[in-house]
Amino acid sequence: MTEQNELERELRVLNFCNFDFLGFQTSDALRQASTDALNKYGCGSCGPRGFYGTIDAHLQIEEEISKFCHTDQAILYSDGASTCSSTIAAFAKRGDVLVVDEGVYEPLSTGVYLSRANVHWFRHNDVDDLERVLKELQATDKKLGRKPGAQRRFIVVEGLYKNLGTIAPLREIIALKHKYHYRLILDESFSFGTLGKTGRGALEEHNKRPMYDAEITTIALENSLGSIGGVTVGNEEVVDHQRLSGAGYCYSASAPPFTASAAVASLRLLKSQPELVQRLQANIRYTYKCLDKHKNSITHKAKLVVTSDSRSPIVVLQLERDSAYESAIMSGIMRECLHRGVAIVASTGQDASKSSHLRTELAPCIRITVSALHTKNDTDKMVNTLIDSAILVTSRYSLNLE
Amino acid sequence: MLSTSSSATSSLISSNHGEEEEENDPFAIVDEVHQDDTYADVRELLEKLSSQDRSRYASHDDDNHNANKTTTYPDYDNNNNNESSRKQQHIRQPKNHAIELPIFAAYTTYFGYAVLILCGHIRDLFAKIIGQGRYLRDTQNSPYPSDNLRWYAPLLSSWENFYTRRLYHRIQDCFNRPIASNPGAQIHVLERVSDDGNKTMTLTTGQGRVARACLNLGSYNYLGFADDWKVTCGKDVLNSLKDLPISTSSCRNEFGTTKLHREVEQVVARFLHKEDALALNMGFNTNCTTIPALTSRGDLLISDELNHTSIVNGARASGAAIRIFRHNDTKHLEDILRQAIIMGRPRTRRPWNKIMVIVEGIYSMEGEYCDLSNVVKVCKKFGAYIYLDEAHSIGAMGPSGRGCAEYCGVDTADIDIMMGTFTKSFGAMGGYIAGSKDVISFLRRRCAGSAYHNSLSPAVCQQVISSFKVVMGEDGTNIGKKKIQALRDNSNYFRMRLQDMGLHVLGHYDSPIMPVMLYNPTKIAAFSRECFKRGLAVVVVGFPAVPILESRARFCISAGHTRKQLDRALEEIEDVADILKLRYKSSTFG
Repeated sequence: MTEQNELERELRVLNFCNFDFLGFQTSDALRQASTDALNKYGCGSCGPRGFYGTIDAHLQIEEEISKFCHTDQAILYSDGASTCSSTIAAFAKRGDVLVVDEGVYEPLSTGVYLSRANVHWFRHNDVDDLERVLKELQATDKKLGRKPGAQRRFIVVEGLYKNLGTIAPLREIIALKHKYHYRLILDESFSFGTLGKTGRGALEEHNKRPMYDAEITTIALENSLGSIGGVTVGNEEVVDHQRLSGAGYCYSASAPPFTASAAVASLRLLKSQPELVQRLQANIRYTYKCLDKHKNSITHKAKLVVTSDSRSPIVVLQLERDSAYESAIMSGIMRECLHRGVAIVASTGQDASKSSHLRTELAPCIRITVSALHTKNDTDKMVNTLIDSAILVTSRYSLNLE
Repeated sequence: MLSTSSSATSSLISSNHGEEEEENDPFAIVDEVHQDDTYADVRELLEKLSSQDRSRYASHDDDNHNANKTTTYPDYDNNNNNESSRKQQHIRQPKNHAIELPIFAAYTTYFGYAVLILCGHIRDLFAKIIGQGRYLRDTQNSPYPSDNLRWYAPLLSSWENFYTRRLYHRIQDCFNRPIASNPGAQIHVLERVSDDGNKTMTLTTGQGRVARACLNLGSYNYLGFADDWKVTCGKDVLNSLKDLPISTSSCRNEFGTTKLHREVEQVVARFLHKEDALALNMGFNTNCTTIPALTSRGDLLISDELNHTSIVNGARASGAAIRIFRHNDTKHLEDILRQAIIMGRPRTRRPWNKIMVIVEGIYSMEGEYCDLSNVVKVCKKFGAYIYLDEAHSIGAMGPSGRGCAEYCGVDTADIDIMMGTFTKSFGAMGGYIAGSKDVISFLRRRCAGSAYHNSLSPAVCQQVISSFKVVMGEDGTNIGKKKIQALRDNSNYFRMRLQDMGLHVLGHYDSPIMPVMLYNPTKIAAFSRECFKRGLAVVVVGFPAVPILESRARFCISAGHTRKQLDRALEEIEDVADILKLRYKSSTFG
């Protein structure tokens, strides 16, 4: 009830909560592009891509984003989440092998589950564990006398993990992938526009080539690009196959043309202003620096630790030690921050319950997303508010934390 | 005894029907709205045909006279009786549309596929021998490491890829046709060419792109919101963009809820007379994420055999046991339900935690509506939950556009979970789930679509709100009423004329979808190309969307069509039907 009242009071708060990393949401170029597209095409597309739901705006974003990513082709889905799940299920079938990082987010794990392939999990970002799994599989092959070309095999990772704010050690993973002959399915939904010098994502960050080092790459247009939908990029074979086998592509209505036009506009902004990415990365560095500076009060007084990668725009803070009140503390911190004018997100944790196919349980955490639009003042204010609120809230539970 | 209780429920439902029909005939508004009735000359016939189908398939007025006979169920205490009547029930009911596949068409269809497959294999063989061919992937000189077949399995293999290469690509030009306009009654279809034997299609270039103006008989623009968008919804939607972003870049449960999202949900709940509703970003995902949230291991899902892929995906993802009943066959549904309750879970024989029956309002490939009143009757009898997917029927059926439930005279309170999409009738995007407050608040927390996925675009929310208000008449005009009436008239007229031509038309009157059977694989492309030549944009469907023998063309009628346009289209179709020999109703040879 209190939450509702707060919303209805219309607070003006600093936005450290949504995945609009580059601040395109509020840009005039996107608004203009959407308005133009709406005036031309109306709102909905009224049909799946196969049946007159392909509008030239869709073709445009497919062409531009595949060029931008240095791939042959791209295929547009109308929703970011279904991009991942449909893509995996389109390629991995019963009898194939998927080796998946335990930290992947929900759409990927749903896709993995839907594919009905044999799934092997490796510990999050643990290259040794990955190699262990691959070696085990190799040993099984030898035992059964199975040729390596008998099964399709994929490694599934995220460039930047949404839930954990960690970055996949792609260099090592790709080396292993080549060594053991696996294909790589890489989700760049959160790394696109945030990692790499020009915002091309995790592959660029690690100096790897698209299509060669990662055969299948999925990108949601909902985060950095501030629009709606998702694309899969890859070579002609990868993309063409999905046009008939991607469930979310074939059997769902296509994206409203204005979202495609908006994505084109934001992609052009990203292309013409690579300094935006640099500004974001500078903001990320500054944020971590601030958090590091106050490490004393964060870890000692509030018992929080930063667990995300220092290059990640998704900053994750967790409690130092497990507590029965974790989720209460996190929501308490979030509410307190909101009250003081800073919007951050408390993830109350995800149980690997029956409704989601997540492999691992996620501890409750605080999630802060850094944007290119933030000024140093904003970041300072956020960090101070966070520390004050965290100390306040954790002290309430201090007895239980001892 | 069971038999008495069941007849009591059936009489209760039938008496409801009686009241509704006598006191306020939902279709009595016809004269009021249509002073200048474009279908005045055929009005009587249309109404007769529609009420015939309605009483046969939706309200079952014919059955009510001998209600006892049709709804008495075998006595469980008496084993002999039980067995004999169960045997009777296993006799397959005739399909609703009662269209028999002509033997001639079946043989030629099989023959056609055999030739195609044989030619495909010969081509593949020669390509392999010569080492050249447009589908031969050059794995020797390929720059991609994953093309090395010594270490990697081919990414695409087997029958599916063969089908794509050798069958689908031949007629690729009939699908995915890009358009360069709004998807209204009249569309501009971009011409494409292929210079590699239909393997890839490219837009014509040169002096700009070439677009062909076509009459659109393919889009799900049932209520015609794409045609008059600027008048009905445009202003509001453009206004909403002024202060709200295109995407919230956050999920519903975090910071992805705007005031418009709440309004959408309230409007939907009000429209459907449900307590609450939840709006998600994608219709497909609505099914994919809510079914797993509602059911899990230990539950049983009973699904119509023709249910949409999204339901199939959702059901699979849930981990629940799945049983399939024959399309619209409530006897079979009842059989499965009884079996499931008696036998319990496999092996352990413990009772199911819950049983949910999933049906669709209108089946998109059949044009048939669900036999909802009987489904509800059966589900109530056995205490199963009902999940109704109204993707195609919401807005398009019923006197006030409230979907299949309204049309079949079923109270929405009897349907536990109502799902639908905004993509079709309302010209927007996304889907909703409507139900009781408890269910919806549970789903808000638990369903991946609202807990993890990006929320609806605020502009799309505004489109939904505006179009719903038009349909409900809350905008102060009677545009919505007119639209619903026009859609019904257009569809019934079109269906009647198609049937008069002697085509095999599937589906029921009052449904805006009408598939016409083509059977032969060659006719799929021929029909589409001939129609396209004549300025008609039609949808043709083949395997795997429909069974291999039942290729069809599918017309979706809209309120935006005028009678003149439809007459012209019918003339052209008649022409094409002559050329392609499609009149299977009047002759076995078409």
